[in-house]
Amino acid sequence: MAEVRLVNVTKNFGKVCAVKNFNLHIKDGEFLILVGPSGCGKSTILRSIAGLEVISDGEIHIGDRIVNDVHPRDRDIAMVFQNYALYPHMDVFQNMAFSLMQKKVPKNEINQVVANTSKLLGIHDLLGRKPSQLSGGQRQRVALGRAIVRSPQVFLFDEPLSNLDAKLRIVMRTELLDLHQKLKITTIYVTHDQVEAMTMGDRLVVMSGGRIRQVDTPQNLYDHPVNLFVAGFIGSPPMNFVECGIEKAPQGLHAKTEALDFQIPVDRAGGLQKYIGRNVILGIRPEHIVGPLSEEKVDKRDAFRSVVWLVERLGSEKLVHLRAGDSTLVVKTARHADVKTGEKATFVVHMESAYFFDKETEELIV
Amino acid sequence: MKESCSAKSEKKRWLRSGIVSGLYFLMIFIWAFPVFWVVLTSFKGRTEIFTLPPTIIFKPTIEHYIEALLTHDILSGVVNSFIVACGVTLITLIIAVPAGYAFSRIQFPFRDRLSFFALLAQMAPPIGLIIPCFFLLSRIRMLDTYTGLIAIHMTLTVPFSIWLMITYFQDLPKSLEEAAIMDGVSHFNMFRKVALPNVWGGVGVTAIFAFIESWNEFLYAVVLTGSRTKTAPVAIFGFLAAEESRWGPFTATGVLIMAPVIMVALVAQRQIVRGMTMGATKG
Repeated sequence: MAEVRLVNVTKNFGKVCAVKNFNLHIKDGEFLILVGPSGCGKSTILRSIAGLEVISDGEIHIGDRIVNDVHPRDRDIAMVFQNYALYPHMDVFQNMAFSLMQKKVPKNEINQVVANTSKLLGIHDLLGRKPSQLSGGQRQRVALGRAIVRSPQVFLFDEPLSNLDAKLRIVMRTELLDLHQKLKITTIYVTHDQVEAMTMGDRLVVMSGGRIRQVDTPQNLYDHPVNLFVAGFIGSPPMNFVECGIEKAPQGLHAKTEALDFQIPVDRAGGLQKYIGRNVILGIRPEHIVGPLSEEKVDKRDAFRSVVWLVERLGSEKLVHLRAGDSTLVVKTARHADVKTGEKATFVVHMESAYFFDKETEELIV
Repeated sequence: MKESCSAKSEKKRWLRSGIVSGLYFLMIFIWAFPVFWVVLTSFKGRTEIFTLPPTIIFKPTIEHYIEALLTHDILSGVVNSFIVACGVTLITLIIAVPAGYAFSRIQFPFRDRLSFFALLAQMAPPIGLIIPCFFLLSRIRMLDTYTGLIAIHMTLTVPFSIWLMITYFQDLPKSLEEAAIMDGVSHFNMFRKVALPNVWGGVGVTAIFAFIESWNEFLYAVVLTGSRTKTAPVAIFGFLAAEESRWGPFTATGVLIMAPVIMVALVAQRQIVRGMTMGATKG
């Protein structure tokens, strides 16, 4: 087990800068997830740690070594690829034993290690099969087994579940977490799926455009996003964003659009004083909009009336898409909520849970 | 009104597919008819061959095949063709397979230009090179030798084979090799233990191409071989002389020369087409 440190890592592909001045410290035994949209540089970082990409600048430390010039085989790491990269002409045993054979490990030792690892992963009966004879989940386990037998200091996972169907993905997620708890090996995991990231990581590194937008635990990222990108990326369904003007009224500050008018709670108003007369981005999570409610029960200060243009039924709940002027809002409602497409309904916003972002910098104001 | 419109477009569709099918059959007829006629002629008696109008139904005979097989020149020609084709195939594979891997997977200076140059060499018309090849082999005393003919045939087979192997190696997922790098495999073992076992089908197709190319080759063979190494396509012309052209044994020998190649092509046709079209989709 080892910690991993990236110090001012930069990677250029010709004139394109994929990653610039990237700094990150991964603790010993931690399950860290790099998450972000396609092209954000997360796989580049992972491959740089593996040694499959040579970085243009900076340092990568694994344990107490700088590994910039160290061959991938000598970095004491193991990688699981998105498409598993199993050797098609070798059976499961040979796939798992291959790296040990390259190191000239004695045969009986190889047999023992492969047997133990295959039992741990439940693939002991598949040792004689070729990859083409395995299901997606079985191939995934073999790829894991191939990584585990190396007894590495660090595991690297490059979107290992993205080729699996939705149900199998959920099963494998729990298995991977279980494995991590047993083996306690430092793990760096790349995914573009924020649900996967939220459920698996000790900490998440949210990336976009080759740089880190925020690093924190899943819950903190969800509750305290520091910028618009993280707020919109983390959470499913994503946070609603409405561009609104901050106006001063006798009762206090209001966030207003053509169709919406919300009073800003007193404890949030302080941070918005310098934005009076300007536009900001109001962010509100779908579960912080409540409804539909009857008009009499509503404190009109927080309420708005809107046309329902789409209802998505998820079984345990509904997602209601509302049109309010130029804005579209998504609301999470109970599964029995009485909403019909095309009809108007009244909803209430919990403004104490709202976020305000600077329109230019996209940073969180309050 | 609507019905007659759809009936009209249905008719147009039938007409179009009929014309296209007709063109296909015409093309197949043009290619296949000479082969069909050679096979037919090889089973006709001596007088039957010259009958006008030509007959399709007749009493077949195998006398020409017996004569062809008993003619020393033909038998030795077939053996020579086999030796040369096998030699060409073996050496072509020894060169083209590692070269294909290197061009597809290893970065070295002028890599792309070199691979294009290799293909460019294939485009030179053989007829323009016959005389230089003759003088070259004559100077180094390699006329009428297996080595000389094999070397010249390789100029026909190696460039295309390299190109073919490049496409097969490029088809392998890069992650396979990256996994092998992580497993600590050297470049040579990457080729030997990881890449090569996964392109055996491609190696087989390349071998078939090289064998057929050498087996059928006539132009270089007629100029560069003599009594010792005359190949079958050259030996067959022994049946055509100023005094008498013996079409029966001539066509029978033609069938004997064509038969192995056609059989191999029929068995491996799917792989051959795949090998040829793979370059098209990657290009």
